[in-house]
Amino acid sequence: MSRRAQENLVALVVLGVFIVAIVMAFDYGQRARMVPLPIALIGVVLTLWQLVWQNIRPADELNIDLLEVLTRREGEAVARNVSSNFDEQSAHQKRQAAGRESVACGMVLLLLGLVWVIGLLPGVFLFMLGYFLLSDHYSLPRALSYSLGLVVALYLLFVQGLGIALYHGWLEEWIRNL
Amino acid sequence: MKKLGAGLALLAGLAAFGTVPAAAQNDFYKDKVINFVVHGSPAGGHTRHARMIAPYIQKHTGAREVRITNLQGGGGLKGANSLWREKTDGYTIALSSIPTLILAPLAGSAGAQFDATKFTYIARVTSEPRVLTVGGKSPLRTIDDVRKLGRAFVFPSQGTDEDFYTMAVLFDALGLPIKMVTGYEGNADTALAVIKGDGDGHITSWSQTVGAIASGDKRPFLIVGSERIPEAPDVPTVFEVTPREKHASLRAIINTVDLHRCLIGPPNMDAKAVAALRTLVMAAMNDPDLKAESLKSKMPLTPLDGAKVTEMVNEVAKASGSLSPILKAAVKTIQ
Amino acid sequence: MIDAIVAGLAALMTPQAMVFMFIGVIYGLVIGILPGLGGVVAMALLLPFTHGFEVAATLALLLGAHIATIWGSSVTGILFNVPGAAKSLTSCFDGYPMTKQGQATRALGASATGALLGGILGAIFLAVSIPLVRPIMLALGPSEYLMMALWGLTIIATFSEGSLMKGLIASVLGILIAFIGMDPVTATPRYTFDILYLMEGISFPVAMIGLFAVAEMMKLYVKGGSIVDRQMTEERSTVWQGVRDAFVHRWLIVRSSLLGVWIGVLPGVGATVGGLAAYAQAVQTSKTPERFGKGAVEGVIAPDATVGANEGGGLMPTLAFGIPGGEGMAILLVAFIGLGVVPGPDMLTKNLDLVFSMVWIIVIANIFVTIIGLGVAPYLARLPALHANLMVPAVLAVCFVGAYATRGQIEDVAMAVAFGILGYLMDKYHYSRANLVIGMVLAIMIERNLHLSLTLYGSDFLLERPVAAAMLAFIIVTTALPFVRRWWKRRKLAAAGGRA
Repeated sequence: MSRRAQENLVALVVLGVFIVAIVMAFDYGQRARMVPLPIALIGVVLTLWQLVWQNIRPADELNIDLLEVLTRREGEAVARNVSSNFDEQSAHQKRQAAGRESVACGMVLLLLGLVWVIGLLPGVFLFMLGYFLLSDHYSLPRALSYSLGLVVALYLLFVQGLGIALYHGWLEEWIRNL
Repeated sequence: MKKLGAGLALLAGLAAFGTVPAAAQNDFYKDKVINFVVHGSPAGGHTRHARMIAPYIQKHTGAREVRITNLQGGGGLKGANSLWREKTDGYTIALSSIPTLILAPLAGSAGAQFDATKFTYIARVTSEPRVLTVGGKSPLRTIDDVRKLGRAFVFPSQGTDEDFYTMAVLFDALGLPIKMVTGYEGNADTALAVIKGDGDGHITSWSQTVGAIASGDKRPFLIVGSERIPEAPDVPTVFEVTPREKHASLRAIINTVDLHRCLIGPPNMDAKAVAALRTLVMAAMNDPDLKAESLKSKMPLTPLDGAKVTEMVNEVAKASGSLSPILKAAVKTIQ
Repeated sequence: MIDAIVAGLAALMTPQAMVFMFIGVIYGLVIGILPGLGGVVAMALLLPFTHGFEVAATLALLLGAHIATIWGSSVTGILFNVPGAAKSLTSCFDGYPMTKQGQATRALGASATGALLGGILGAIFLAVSIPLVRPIMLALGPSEYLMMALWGLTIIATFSEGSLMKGLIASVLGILIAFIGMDPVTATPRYTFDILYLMEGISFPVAMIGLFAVAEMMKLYVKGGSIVDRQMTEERSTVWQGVRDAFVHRWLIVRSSLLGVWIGVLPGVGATVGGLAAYAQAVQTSKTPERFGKGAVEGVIAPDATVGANEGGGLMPTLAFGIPGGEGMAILLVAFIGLGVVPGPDMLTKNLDLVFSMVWIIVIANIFVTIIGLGVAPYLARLPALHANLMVPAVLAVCFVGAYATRGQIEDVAMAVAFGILGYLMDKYHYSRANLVIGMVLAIMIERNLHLSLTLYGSDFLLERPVAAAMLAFIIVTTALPFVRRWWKRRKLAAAGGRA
């Protein structure tokens, strides 16, 4: 997907969120919708404006917008460089970056799943150990001692020190109810 | 800290063996683990109370552990929803705010998936008289001044809490108009509004307001309870200023507020467990050591037996027919 | 009064009080560094251990811990873009860019010194302005709070990250996110989709953990290496540079501290808004506002000074009216009552030495924090250079546990992940995360106070509240000022160019 297509997709999703917010606001009483409704309307106007604007500009100026042209704001150079570099990257690089992005997403979701099923501290421990080993950064003994060390530190801080009962996981609940 | 805790537990255990015959008589919970769920944040008042009484519940029941966890959310509704579906074996109990449980469904609030009358009531832990106060410079001296005001009484409030509902029922009983101003950020904010004169009066507990009353910034106006309080003997109760035929709905809301913090269990809890807990928890709360501790830390305990609590809850439920439309109408005015 | 000042200090000069304060400070630093936990939690957890000790020692423990969380929270904001608590949100805005430029030590030093000077100046202002507190508290109300929140909103323009339009869209999104949950003003559940978890709204610390910390770790994973590549950017700053920065910008600190005291005095404003307002003030009074958000040291100093000074101001509602000003004060109030002291206007006459004890605690605890902070800053500054393969899993682990610990709900961990992915996407497509958060913080305050103003004073409330009207005029002028200045500068440049 080109940068412009991605930008359009993002703007359309945001537009969708604002429209849903407007539709839902009509279910609320007059006072309850007094602030959200106009704010969401402003959001729609801004997003439409942004959508139109980003499609009539040349690709390398994708990150400068009308307001900036009007006010001639300085210091937008960094952002522009980033985006203009983007389309110059080779297809291979782009694929690689997209791949890493999916892995990053998958990684936090995996940690969430682990925590949900087997509880906070065991989930965190397994995740760290797995991460250290799969990234080939540490040998098994070091990976084990680092992850164990951090989990023990977390246990001491939160459970012993602060007296917070941490989540035990769905699995424990399930076994208890058997 | 941990060592100290363990030491205390050991002491408590020894005490349970030696000096407390009640524990020997009823060993339903002996060497068991009681899950004590607090429906509130770990930093809040509920938890402080729970932490204070838990060691004594352990001492009197002879339990191996009284494990405190917090379940907050939805202003207490989340905890109540969870307790509604909890196992009935008697090993899970909760400290909950009763006004929330009773008033939220009556006012038609979304999110309550339970019937408050069906919970098992073990004991009331604490309750503090609430007071309607007016500003020190306010022209309102007696209820007649409110009648002659010529406009609605302005009541600043955080939102639809039990004080909001109490005022709705009180002014319905008085037959006078009230203007609820919601959106304040806590007790300090409403107190300041009353002192400034932006609002006519607000409801707080006596301890929260005693400083401002002593300095003349506020004046106690009505006691939101059935009896006058010794700290302010000249201040009438809400029942003294309202017509008798309106007392049923007023009584219902005051009872609700009076119940404040109670120990409760899931519906249809094991009868043996209920009987054991009601006796042992009352014994724990009458423990002289706990009484001394409560006095020292200024966290008052006003225990009330579970049977009496259940009676009060049922009374409220009976009056709910007349209460519900008033509450719903009050909520309607702010939407 | 002099007697009270001396007596207040003397009460603290016991071994027990000093040891307690030191313990409180260390403890507060740790709590502050943990994401999601702030000063209120720190004090609440200490409360059970305060029975039976002397008054000064108890207050030293509680207040010391509360004070120390300020700098503790800023540390992680500066080093990892992970604010430890809501009130240190602003430390991310310029502190983190400084870290990336190899200026972490300087930023930490500036932050600690800013908080110290803010705390001390705040205490002095407080002592001087005790007679003014009551009239001012009585003069300001919802309409004025509304203007204060609007003022905080004006810094949105600073965080355009290349696109002002997208920045505005992000803040609108933030405002709408803040409306999720039970609206206390109208008892209406809004945008909750009948899910009980959403009824009490999105927890602000959880959203921050996601938007900044989780997103930053995802970014680091995608990028590889470390937050700061030491081969490319050498860490060459020292804490003394930061200390010097704070003194160079002394007037900024004076202004920020004054702001902090008064924001603390007003119940219903809060330190988070205070930090944002301080930042707005720093941007607006700067001759080079375009440097903000990209590593301007003033952006670190001003909010920390305000938050530092805020603590002293927060004591006032309790002392002047006997009503606790905020959550933190409510906990102190419990401790007071436990100690047999009835807070109220009496405190300003009979117990004035106790008041000054507290003022001294704020000063001394700040000095402890700064000494410790300046000492450990160079070591802390090395952390961002750790390799991603250690950093990513470790920071994610701490954040997940922290997100859970804020309210004890597993759904909060899922919410942190959702905000993490949102934050990553926003960063990638240049929708400012800072603006989203600013929208979230201020939305509720704006809505509440707008409703209150309308209900109390009617739709023409600005006519009834001249102070609010004046504040509005002030906001319009100060917001326009940087633009006018820039235009003026350009015109002069153009004129000079024309001559040459």
